[in-house]
Amino acid sequence: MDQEQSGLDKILSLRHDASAKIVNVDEPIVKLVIFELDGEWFAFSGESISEIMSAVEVFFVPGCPPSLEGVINVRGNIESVIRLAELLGKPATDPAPSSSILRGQGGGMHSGIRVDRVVDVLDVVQSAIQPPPTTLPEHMRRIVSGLIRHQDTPVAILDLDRLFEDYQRGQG
Amino acid sequence: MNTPSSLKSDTLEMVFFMAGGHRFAVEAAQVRTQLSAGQAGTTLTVERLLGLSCEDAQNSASRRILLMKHSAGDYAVEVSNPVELRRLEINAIHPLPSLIAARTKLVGIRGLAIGPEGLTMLVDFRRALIQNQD
Repeated sequence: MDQEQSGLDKILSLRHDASAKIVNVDEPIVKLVIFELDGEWFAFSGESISEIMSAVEVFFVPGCPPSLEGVINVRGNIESVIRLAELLGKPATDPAPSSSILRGQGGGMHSGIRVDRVVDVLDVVQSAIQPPPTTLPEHMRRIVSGLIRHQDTPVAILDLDRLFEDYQRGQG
Repeated sequence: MNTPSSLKSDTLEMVFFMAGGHRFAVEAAQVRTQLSAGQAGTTLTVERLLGLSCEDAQNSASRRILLMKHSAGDYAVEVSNPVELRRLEINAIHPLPSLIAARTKLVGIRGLAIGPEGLTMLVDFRRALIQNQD
Protein backbone atom coordinates (compact mmCIF):
# COMPACT_ATOMS: atom_id res chain seq x y z
CA MET A 1 0.00 0.00 0.00
CA ASP A 2 1.55 3.26 -1.11
CA GLN A 3 1.22 5.98 1.38
CA GLU A 4 2.77 9.40 1.43
CA GLN A 5 5.57 9.50 4.00
CA SER A 6 4.73 11.44 7.11
CA GLY A 7 7.19 13.76 8.72
CA LEU A 8 7.87 11.12 11.33
CA ASP A 9 8.45 8.52 8.62
CA LYS A 10 10.95 10.77 6.91
CA ILE A 11 12.81 11.45 10.13
CA LEU A 12 12.91 7.78 11.04
CA SER A 13 14.08 6.91 7.56
CA LEU A 14 16.87 9.46 7.72
CA ARG A 15 17.91 8.22 11.17
CA HIS A 16 17.91 4.66 9.89
CA ASP A 17 20.17 5.56 6.99
CA ALA A 18 22.48 7.46 9.30
CA SER A 19 22.69 4.62 11.78
CA ALA A 20 23.51 2.22 8.96
CA LYS A 21 26.67 4.24 8.34
CA ILE A 22 27.84 3.88 11.92
CA VAL A 23 30.97 1.72 12.05
CA ASN A 24 30.57 -1.60 13.77
CA VAL A 25 32.86 -1.20 16.77
CA ASP A 26 33.57 -4.92 16.82
CA GLU A 27 35.28 -4.71 13.45
CA PRO A 28 39.07 -4.60 13.70
CA ILE A 29 40.50 -1.11 13.46
CA VAL A 30 43.88 -0.34 11.94
CA LYS A 31 45.76 2.87 12.67
CA LEU A 32 47.54 4.30 9.66
CA VAL A 33 50.15 7.03 9.27
CA ILE A 34 49.51 8.53 5.83
CA PHE A 35 52.25 10.51 4.17
CA GLU A 36 53.15 12.04 0.83
CA LEU A 37 56.10 11.23 -1.39
CA ASP A 38 56.62 12.87 -4.77
CA GLY A 39 52.91 13.74 -4.98
CA GLU A 40 51.66 10.24 -4.12
CA TRP A 41 50.17 9.08 -0.84
CA PHE A 42 51.41 6.09 1.11
CA ALA A 43 50.84 4.74 4.61
CA PHE A 44 52.49 2.64 7.28
CA SER A 45 50.66 0.82 10.00
CA GLY A 46 50.59 2.99 13.10
CA GLU A 47 51.97 0.06 15.08
CA SER A 48 55.22 0.27 13.15
CA ILE A 49 55.68 4.03 13.63
CA SER A 50 56.72 5.22 17.07
CA GLU A 51 57.27 8.90 16.40
CA ILE A 52 56.98 11.62 13.77
CA MET A 53 59.89 14.05 13.87
CA SER A 54 60.69 17.26 12.04
CA ALA A 55 63.64 19.63 12.04
CA VAL A 56 66.06 16.97 13.24
CA GLU A 57 69.76 17.26 12.47
CA VAL A 58 70.87 14.36 10.28
CA PHE A 59 74.56 13.45 10.40
CA PHE A 60 76.02 12.22 7.12
CA VAL A 61 77.78 8.84 7.25
CA PRO A 62 80.29 8.30 4.43
CA GLY A 63 80.39 5.05 2.51
CA CYS A 64 76.62 4.52 2.46
CA PRO A 65 74.28 4.46 -0.55
CA PRO A 66 72.53 7.77 -1.40
CA SER A 67 69.26 6.32 -0.09
CA LEU A 68 70.83 6.21 3.39
CA GLU A 69 70.71 9.83 4.45
CA GLY A 70 72.65 9.44 7.69
CA VAL A 71 71.97 9.10 11.39
CA ILE A 72 70.00 11.04 13.98
CA ASN A 73 70.42 11.32 17.72
CA VAL A 74 67.14 10.41 19.38
CA ARG A 75 67.42 11.17 23.06
CA GLY A 76 70.84 9.57 23.29
CA ASN A 77 70.25 6.74 20.82
CA ILE A 78 71.56 6.75 17.27
CA GLU A 79 69.25 5.65 14.46
CA SER A 80 69.69 5.57 10.72
CA VAL A 81 67.56 7.65 8.34
CA ILE A 82 66.64 6.22 4.95
CA ARG A 83 65.10 8.11 2.06
CA LEU A 84 61.94 6.29 1.13
CA ALA A 85 61.61 8.06 -2.21
CA GLU A 86 64.67 6.31 -3.60
CA LEU A 87 63.51 2.96 -2.26
CA LEU A 88 60.23 3.35 -4.14
CA GLY A 89 61.99 4.22 -7.37
CA LYS A 90 61.19 7.92 -7.18
CA PRO A 91 63.65 10.70 -8.02
CA ALA A 92 66.07 11.69 -5.28
CA THR A 93 65.57 15.21 -3.99
CA ASP A 94 66.95 17.17 -1.10
CA PRO A 95 64.63 17.12 1.93
CA ALA A 96 62.16 20.03 1.89
CA PRO A 97 61.75 22.11 5.07
CA SER A 98 58.27 20.61 5.45
CA SER A 99 59.59 17.05 5.30
CA SER A 100 59.39 14.73 8.28
CA ILE A 101 61.16 11.69 9.62
CA LEU A 102 59.02 8.77 10.73
CA ARG A 103 60.69 6.55 13.32
CA GLY A 104 59.79 3.05 12.22
CA GLN A 105 60.39 -0.48 13.39
CA GLY A 106 60.11 -3.57 11.26
CA GLY A 107 61.89 -6.83 10.64
CA GLY A 108 63.59 -6.47 14.03
CA MET A 109 65.17 -3.17 12.97
CA HIS A 110 64.64 0.48 13.76
CA SER A 111 65.24 3.40 11.43
CA GLY A 112 64.07 6.85 10.58
CA ILE A 113 62.27 7.17 7.26
CA ARG A 114 62.32 10.47 5.35
CA VAL A 115 58.97 11.45 3.80
CA ASP A 116 57.87 14.66 2.08
CA ARG A 117 54.89 15.40 4.34
CA VAL A 118 52.72 13.65 6.90
CA VAL A 119 49.12 13.88 5.65
CA ASP A 120 47.12 12.29 8.44
CA VAL A 121 47.07 9.74 11.21
CA LEU A 122 43.75 7.94 11.32
CA ASP A 123 41.91 4.77 12.27
CA VAL A 124 40.33 2.75 9.47
CA VAL A 125 38.27 -0.42 9.66
CA GLN A 126 40.10 -3.47 8.40
CA SER A 127 37.42 -4.12 5.78
CA ALA A 128 38.12 -0.73 4.15
CA ILE A 129 41.57 -1.97 3.12
CA GLN A 130 41.56 -3.40 -0.36
CA PRO A 131 44.13 -5.91 -1.60
CA PRO A 132 46.94 -4.40 -3.65
CA PRO A 133 46.09 -4.14 -7.35
CA THR A 134 47.74 -6.61 -9.69
CA THR A 135 48.85 -3.72 -11.88
CA LEU A 136 51.45 -2.58 -9.36
CA PRO A 137 54.99 -2.18 -10.71
CA GLU A 138 57.24 -5.14 -10.00
CA HIS A 139 59.35 -3.34 -7.36
CA MET A 140 56.20 -2.38 -5.41
CA ARG A 141 54.44 -5.73 -5.34
CA ARG A 142 56.33 -7.16 -2.40
CA ILE A 143 56.10 -4.11 -0.16
CA VAL A 144 52.51 -2.92 -0.78
CA SER A 145 50.17 -4.78 1.55
CA GLY A 146 46.92 -2.98 0.75
CA LEU A 147 45.15 0.04 -0.66
CA ILE A 148 42.64 2.51 0.76
CA ARG A 149 41.15 5.79 -0.39
CA HIS A 150 41.50 8.84 1.82
CA GLN A 151 40.20 12.26 0.83
CA ASP A 152 39.50 10.81 -2.63
CA THR A 153 43.15 9.91 -3.02
CA PRO A 154 44.50 6.37 -3.33
CA VAL A 155 46.85 5.41 -0.51
CA ALA A 156 49.20 2.43 -0.82
CA ILE A 157 49.85 0.78 2.54
CA LEU A 158 53.49 -0.31 2.82
CA ASP A 159 54.81 -3.31 4.73
CA LEU A 160 57.68 -1.92 6.81
CA ASP A 161 58.97 -5.39 7.78
CA ARG A 162 59.56 -6.25 4.14
CA LEU A 163 60.83 -2.81 3.28
CA PHE A 164 63.54 -2.91 5.94
CA GLU A 165 64.40 -6.55 5.19
CA ASP A 166 64.76 -5.81 1.48
CA TYR A 167 66.83 -2.73 2.21
CA GLN A 168 69.08 -4.68 4.53
CA ARG A 169 69.62 -7.21 1.74
CA GLY A 170 70.83 -4.45 -0.55
CA GLN A 171 67.74 -3.38 -2.47
CA GLY A 172 67.17 0.32 -2.92
CA MET B 1 73.54 4.05 30.10
CA ASN B 2 75.64 2.64 32.90
CA THR B 3 79.25 1.79 32.39
CA PRO B 4 79.57 -1.93 31.61
CA SER B 5 81.02 -3.69 34.66
CA SER B 6 83.89 -5.10 32.60
CA LEU B 7 85.16 -1.58 31.93
CA LYS B 8 87.20 0.15 34.57
CA SER B 9 86.41 3.67 33.39
CA ASP B 10 83.47 5.56 31.97
CA THR B 11 85.68 6.88 29.20
CA LEU B 12 87.79 5.30 26.49
CA GLU B 13 91.02 6.78 25.22
CA MET B 14 90.79 7.33 21.48
CA VAL B 15 92.95 8.86 18.77
CA PHE B 16 90.82 11.16 16.62
CA PHE B 17 91.81 12.04 13.08
CA MET B 18 90.33 13.19 9.79
CA ALA B 19 89.94 11.13 6.63
CA GLY B 20 88.24 12.29 3.46
CA GLY B 21 86.88 15.29 5.30
CA HIS B 22 85.18 13.17 7.97
CA ARG B 23 86.05 12.62 11.62
CA PHE B 24 87.21 9.17 12.68
CA ALA B 25 88.69 7.68 15.83
CA VAL B 26 90.62 4.54 16.64
CA GLU B 27 91.22 3.07 20.07
CA ALA B 28 94.41 4.57 21.49
CA ALA B 29 95.51 1.17 22.78
CA GLN B 30 96.07 0.12 19.16
CA VAL B 31 98.34 3.10 18.40
CA ARG B 32 102.04 2.91 19.27
CA THR B 33 102.93 6.48 18.34
CA GLN B 34 102.38 9.34 15.95
CA LEU B 35 104.95 10.27 13.32
CA SER B 36 105.29 13.11 10.88
CA ALA B 37 104.82 12.38 7.20
CA GLY B 38 108.07 11.05 5.81
CA GLN B 39 109.21 9.49 9.09
CA ALA B 40 107.77 6.12 8.19
CA GLY B 41 108.58 3.85 5.30
CA THR B 42 105.67 2.12 3.64
CA THR B 43 102.36 3.57 4.73
CA LEU B 44 98.76 2.78 4.05
CA THR B 45 96.52 5.74 3.35
CA VAL B 46 93.56 5.70 5.70
CA GLU B 47 91.14 6.44 2.86
CA ARG B 48 92.27 3.32 1.01
CA LEU B 49 92.32 1.20 4.17
CA LEU B 50 88.76 2.18 5.12
CA GLY B 51 87.39 2.07 1.60
CA LEU B 52 86.57 5.77 1.31
CA SER B 53 86.10 6.70 -2.31
CA CYS B 54 88.81 8.68 -4.08
CA GLU B 55 86.52 11.72 -4.18
CA ASP B 56 86.51 11.67 -0.40
CA ALA B 57 90.28 11.56 -0.15
CA GLN B 58 91.80 14.69 1.33
CA ASN B 59 94.93 15.77 -0.48
CA SER B 60 96.06 17.96 2.35
CA ALA B 61 99.68 18.63 3.11
CA SER B 62 98.96 18.29 6.81
CA ARG B 63 99.16 14.53 6.96
CA ARG B 64 100.30 12.51 9.93
CA ILE B 65 101.33 8.91 10.38
CA LEU B 66 99.87 6.66 13.04
CA LEU B 67 102.15 3.74 13.83
CA MET B 68 99.80 0.92 14.72
CA LYS B 69 100.59 -2.05 16.95
CA HIS B 70 100.29 -5.49 15.36
CA SER B 71 101.43 -8.93 16.45
CA ALA B 72 103.00 -9.51 13.03
CA GLY B 73 104.82 -6.18 13.13
CA ASP B 74 103.83 -2.54 13.40
CA TYR B 75 102.31 -0.86 10.37
CA ALA B 76 101.88 2.79 9.44
CA VAL B 77 98.65 4.50 8.45
CA GLU B 78 98.58 8.00 6.96
CA VAL B 79 95.74 10.18 8.26
CA SER B 80 94.84 13.87 8.10
CA ASN B 81 95.16 16.48 10.80
CA PRO B 82 93.92 17.36 13.31
CA VAL B 83 95.10 14.26 15.15
CA GLU B 84 94.06 14.34 18.79
CA LEU B 85 94.35 12.01 21.74
CA ARG B 86 91.20 12.38 23.85
CA ARG B 87 88.97 10.38 26.14
CA LEU B 88 85.54 9.61 24.78
CA GLU B 89 82.58 9.16 27.10
CA ILE B 90 81.40 5.55 26.90
CA ASN B 91 77.83 6.83 26.91
CA ALA B 92 78.55 8.57 23.62
CA ILE B 93 79.62 5.33 21.90
CA HIS B 94 76.94 3.51 19.91
CA PRO B 95 76.92 0.38 17.76
CA LEU B 96 76.12 0.85 14.09
CA PRO B 97 72.38 0.95 13.38
CA SER B 98 71.35 -2.27 11.61
CA LEU B 99 70.74 -0.73 8.20
CA ILE B 100 74.03 1.17 8.28
CA ALA B 101 75.89 -1.99 9.28
CA ALA B 102 74.26 -3.83 6.38
CA ARG B 103 74.79 -1.18 3.72
CA THR B 104 78.01 0.67 4.53
CA LYS B 105 80.94 0.17 2.23
CA LEU B 106 83.35 1.45 4.86
CA VAL B 107 85.76 -1.22 6.00
CA GLY B 108 86.55 -1.67 9.68
CA ILE B 109 83.85 0.66 10.97
CA ARG B 110 82.67 -0.52 14.39
CA GLY B 111 80.50 2.20 15.86
CA LEU B 112 79.51 5.85 15.97
CA ALA B 113 79.78 8.65 18.47
CA ILE B 114 77.89 11.92 18.43
CA GLY B 115 79.32 14.76 20.45
CA PRO B 116 79.52 18.54 20.39
CA GLU B 117 81.87 18.34 17.41
CA GLY B 118 79.44 16.20 15.41
CA LEU B 119 79.63 12.62 14.26
CA THR B 120 82.71 10.46 14.69
CA MET B 121 83.12 7.09 12.99
CA LEU B 122 84.84 4.61 15.31
CA VAL B 123 87.06 2.25 13.40
CA ASP B 124 89.30 -0.75 14.00
CA PHE B 125 92.26 -0.81 11.63
CA ARG B 126 93.00 -4.49 12.44
CA ARG B 127 89.56 -5.51 11.24
CA ALA B 128 90.00 -3.29 8.19
CA LEU B 129 93.25 -5.06 7.32
CA ILE B 130 91.60 -8.47 7.64
CA GLN B 131 88.56 -7.40 5.61
CA ASN B 132 90.81 -5.96 2.91
CA GLN B 133 92.64 -9.31 2.66
CA ASP B 134 89.36 -11.23 2.17
